[in-house]
Amino acid sequence: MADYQQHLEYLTQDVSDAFPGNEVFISQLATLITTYPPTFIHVHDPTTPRTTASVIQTVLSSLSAFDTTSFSPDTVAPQIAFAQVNAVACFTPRLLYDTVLNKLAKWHTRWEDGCANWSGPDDGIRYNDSLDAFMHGLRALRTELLEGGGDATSLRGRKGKAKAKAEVETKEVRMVLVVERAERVLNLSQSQVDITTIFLSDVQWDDIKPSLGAALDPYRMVISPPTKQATLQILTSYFPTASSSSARAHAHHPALAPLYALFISALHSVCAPFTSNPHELAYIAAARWPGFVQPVLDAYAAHLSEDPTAELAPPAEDARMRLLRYFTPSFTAALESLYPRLTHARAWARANEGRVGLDVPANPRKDKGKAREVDEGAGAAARGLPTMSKFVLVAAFLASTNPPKTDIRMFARGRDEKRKRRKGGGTKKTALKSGPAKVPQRLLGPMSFPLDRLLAILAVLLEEYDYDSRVPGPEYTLSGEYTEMELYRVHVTGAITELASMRLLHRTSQPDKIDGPPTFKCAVSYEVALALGRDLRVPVLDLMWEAV
Amino acid sequence: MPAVPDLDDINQTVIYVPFDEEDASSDEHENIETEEYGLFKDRDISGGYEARMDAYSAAWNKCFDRLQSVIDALHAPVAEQIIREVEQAYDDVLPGLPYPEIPVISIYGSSTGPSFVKSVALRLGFDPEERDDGESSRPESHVIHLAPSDCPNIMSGMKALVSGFVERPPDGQEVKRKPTTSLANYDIELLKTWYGVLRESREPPPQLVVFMHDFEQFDDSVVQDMFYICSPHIPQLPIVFVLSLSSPPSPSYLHTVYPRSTMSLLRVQSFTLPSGIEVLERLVTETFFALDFEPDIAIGPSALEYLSDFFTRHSSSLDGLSIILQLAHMKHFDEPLTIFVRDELLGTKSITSAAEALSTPDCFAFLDTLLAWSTDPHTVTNNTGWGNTDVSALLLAVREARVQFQTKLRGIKLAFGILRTVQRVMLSFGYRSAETDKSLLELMSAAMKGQLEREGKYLGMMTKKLPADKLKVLLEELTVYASSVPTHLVEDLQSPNAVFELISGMSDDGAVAAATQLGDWLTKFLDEHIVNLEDSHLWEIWYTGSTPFPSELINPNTRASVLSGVLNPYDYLPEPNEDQSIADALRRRMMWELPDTSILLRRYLEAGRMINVYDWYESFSMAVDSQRRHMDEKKSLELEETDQEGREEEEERWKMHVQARFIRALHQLDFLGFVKHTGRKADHIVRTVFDVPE
Repeated sequence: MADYQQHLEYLTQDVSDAFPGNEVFISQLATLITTYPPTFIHVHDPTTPRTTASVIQTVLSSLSAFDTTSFSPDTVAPQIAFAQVNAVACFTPRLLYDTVLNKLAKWHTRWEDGCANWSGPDDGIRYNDSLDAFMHGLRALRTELLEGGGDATSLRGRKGKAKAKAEVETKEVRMVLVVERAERVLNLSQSQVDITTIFLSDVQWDDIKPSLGAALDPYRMVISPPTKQATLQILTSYFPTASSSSARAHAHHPALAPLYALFISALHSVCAPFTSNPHELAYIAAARWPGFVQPVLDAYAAHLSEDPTAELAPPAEDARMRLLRYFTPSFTAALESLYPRLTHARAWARANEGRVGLDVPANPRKDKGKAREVDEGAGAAARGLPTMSKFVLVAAFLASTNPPKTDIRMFARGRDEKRKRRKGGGTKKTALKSGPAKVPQRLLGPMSFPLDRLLAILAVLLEEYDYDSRVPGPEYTLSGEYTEMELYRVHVTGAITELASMRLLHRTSQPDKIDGPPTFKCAVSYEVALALGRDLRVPVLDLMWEAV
Repeated sequence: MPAVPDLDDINQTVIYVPFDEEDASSDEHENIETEEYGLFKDRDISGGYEARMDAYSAAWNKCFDRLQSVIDALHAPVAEQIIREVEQAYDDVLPGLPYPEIPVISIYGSSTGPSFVKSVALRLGFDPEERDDGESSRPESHVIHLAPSDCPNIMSGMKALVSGFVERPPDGQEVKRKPTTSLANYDIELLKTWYGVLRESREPPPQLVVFMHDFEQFDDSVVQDMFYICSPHIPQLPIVFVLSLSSPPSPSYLHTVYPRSTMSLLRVQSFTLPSGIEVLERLVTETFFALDFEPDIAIGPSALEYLSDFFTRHSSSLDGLSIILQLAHMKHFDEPLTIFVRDELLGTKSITSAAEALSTPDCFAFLDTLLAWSTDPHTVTNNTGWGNTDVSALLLAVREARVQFQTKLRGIKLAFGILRTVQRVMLSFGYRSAETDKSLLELMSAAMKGQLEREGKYLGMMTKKLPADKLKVLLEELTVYASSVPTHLVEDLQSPNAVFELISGMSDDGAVAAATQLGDWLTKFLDEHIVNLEDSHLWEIWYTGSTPFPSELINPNTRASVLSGVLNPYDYLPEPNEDQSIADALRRRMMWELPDTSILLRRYLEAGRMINVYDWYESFSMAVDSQRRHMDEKKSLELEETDQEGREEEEERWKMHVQARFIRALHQLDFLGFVKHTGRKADHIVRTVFDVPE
């Protein structure tokens, strides 16, 4: 008969190998669970909650897979049942109860049975309608596990004490949103339903605990960010060797694994200052690798045509250095477009696999290309919108940037007059000198403005810059009457609402507030506003109070 | 009562609040009769309205089908790409990713064609009604649609998602689930169980496609949770989200609104529908200037002008475009004579019976118009000039006019096509002077007005100066164009064909002569064929011409309408009690004749920037007093003498009465947005409307 402790050690070792960097946590967790678990553990992982979740999952499922009967009877070998649920996914109490009970009981719902939940020995009992019923469910489950599990000693129940608390937590948890909450059962005592609860969160316990000490103070565990070594190991473990069965050379051929390790460490050194999350790094690596390895594959293909028996081998040292030198600049480019998910890994990999060897000379050019991209982006926005929406956006930009008091000076009819006044704007200058250094409004972010002001500025813009492109309206005789008519048309108001729903304008007042005009903020950037202005032939710079 | 319409939904440009008889049964509405609508009732024939409506729907459906097919052709490439992307969503995954991503397809600019997304869904879709047997060669997908109203919170969102799929049993037989002791219908585990059965029974396993319409309207926190919940179940549950966004692709709505943590769960592939003025030009060209399609109604310059202006200025939605065209059709069929759009039989079998039907006295006004319009005023010199002496002859004249009109229109289309071809070839040679300052739609308008003379002459002149090699290219292009002309139009083309053949057989030496010949022919051909359509007989039947487009129906100015409605209520409200002439109805009313709100508004317009409410009340009560005097006069001397005490009491009551009316009117103005409260000055309000043109 194997020794239980030994088993446990093997297990810890295995899991630690699978999740490098978490050795301490894994052994602590395994020890706690198998010996005297605290009833409530809070695991705080600010950086990699997703990884930690799967660590906990692996540890617990391995532990619960132990066959307790195979150990010598004098060993205390607890049988473990566990349920790992996600607080976001379990957004109602019923969902939580169902999921927890089914998972604890290792119950698999089947379509043919009408997806019935686990219901214990007596059919048709409902355990999900209230906390009380749930508690009964836990007890029933424990009894069943006790009976089914055979030899006495170990039991599991479900989270006893933490009932009401769990409710509170669920709410709290959802508010912080990223909380993955793991809960689990532990062996022990009889009369009461006993359960160990583990919270996993990227938020500290102090920030989510219910007030007035309504919850037990948990045993706290903190996961530190992975070290460089661990990160590299994790990244290397993503090299998909499983898919490399075919004999044909491809990007994930096992022979390339050493090159991959080198690639990973280079990538890490470039990108780690920006993100230390192994998942993000792995994402970038996955996108960059096919392009990176392409020259090697090309060389191999060429070699193969001469010598059909050649084996794919990692390139020699100097070739590796050359590769790295060529590709290192592109790591930053990959980081810039992939980390904010401006594009996805597959598309990026496709777009960049053909540019082999061009990277070094392309580097300065690439920056220019980026500038062009920004311009094109702005241009695309400009092209996509109807004229009136563009005018609204420009007006909104001006309203958000210019101080309201300057409107009369900036927009009053007669542009020459306005210029003169601006130049002689002595009051403004003295004010500037006396006060502390003023930060330009453009850097402070947009101001919010009421709808009236937007419409007023829009009217000026329409009158000054749109007059010539209008369909002639001979029926409007008064000066400005035509603009006035255009300004209050349904589709102008519609355009404003629509822009707000596209988040090109931010509505800062509550939609259900009907008293007073709604207020907005402009959400397009300086560059986009300039591009729009160019498109409409509106000199945006001239109309800004603080031209940049 | 139907559900309250969603007034915040930007995709609903018009909200129809249905007339509810029970609500409106109070006295004030009792007297308004609904009359049969008709602008030219005096010269309509009986049953003409219905007949014209039939003709209208036939004409519009014909036009709309064409439009739709052009739109479909326009979107087909994008649709193909999207369908391919959906089908390959799980086959084509980059190896080495840390965790599987949810494939998401975002379709930008879908407001240009909301029907597009639906048609994509249909093509992808597993249609439960049609394919119950489950036999299909293509890997089919299960498609559900989510609307913003389905997802006000995460629970109903997940419910819509899960039960949308699950309500179709995977193996064809319904399994009864006990609602209380089985998985909740918003539990993703239920979907997983369901899909487990499906995966075993179908090969290849279908994908689950979720269409989210009007994606901007979804609550972002709900959608974030939905993505988060689905994420761990990928790829066991092959879900593909298709988002239909009406915003432009840049700046991206998804990146603006959703946090990086959500974005990193998704693999977003974007598609953009074609949009912009090119789409409009292509649609109009292929619908109204295509040689292989002849709509019943030719849309005239003023409607085209409005269309182009609206499309570029306000909304480039294709639905908006078709609504404008539909409105143009509707308005066109106001005209009684349009009953002859398709034929002149009036629903009978022969001209004779149609003539008989028209020979009743109540049709005389109709016939008068027909006669007047079908006669060219220039040729009528005396009474003997009336060519059509009886009704059937008149009807025959209509038939003849139709043929003439259609021939003319074809000629214009043909000449326009040739003009565009020549222009394009010239531009491709680099002759910038062939450009015109007109947009395509303006060119079309000009063509229908017969105003392209200058362009035609200029192009003819340029052609004459072409060197031999370029001339050849031009000829080839023209021949290609000529060969694309449908055969029933070939008779119109005979002259060009002859010219082309003549010249293509010519050697290089004769190039100058040939160029001169072609140039002359071009000038002449364009001049002959591009004519003003309004010069045709009875053009009003088939052509909307330059009659103004009812733009106020599409894009009204709410403020101006409200203002003029309150200022001149009797322009809008018929007075059912009084039998009055039009002049009477239009005369300007005395102050005392107006309703309270109007009186108050008139006074308001005479005030300064701020209005003292007490002064306002005083002036109002004066107007109301004079109203009372006039009413009393009308009631003549019914009033008998009352004693002094009773009079004082009555005065007291009257004051209360006026005050109540004032407050009510004030509140009405407040609701309409005319009043802005000022916190600064007691008893004053601020005006919101100034300078109202009377």
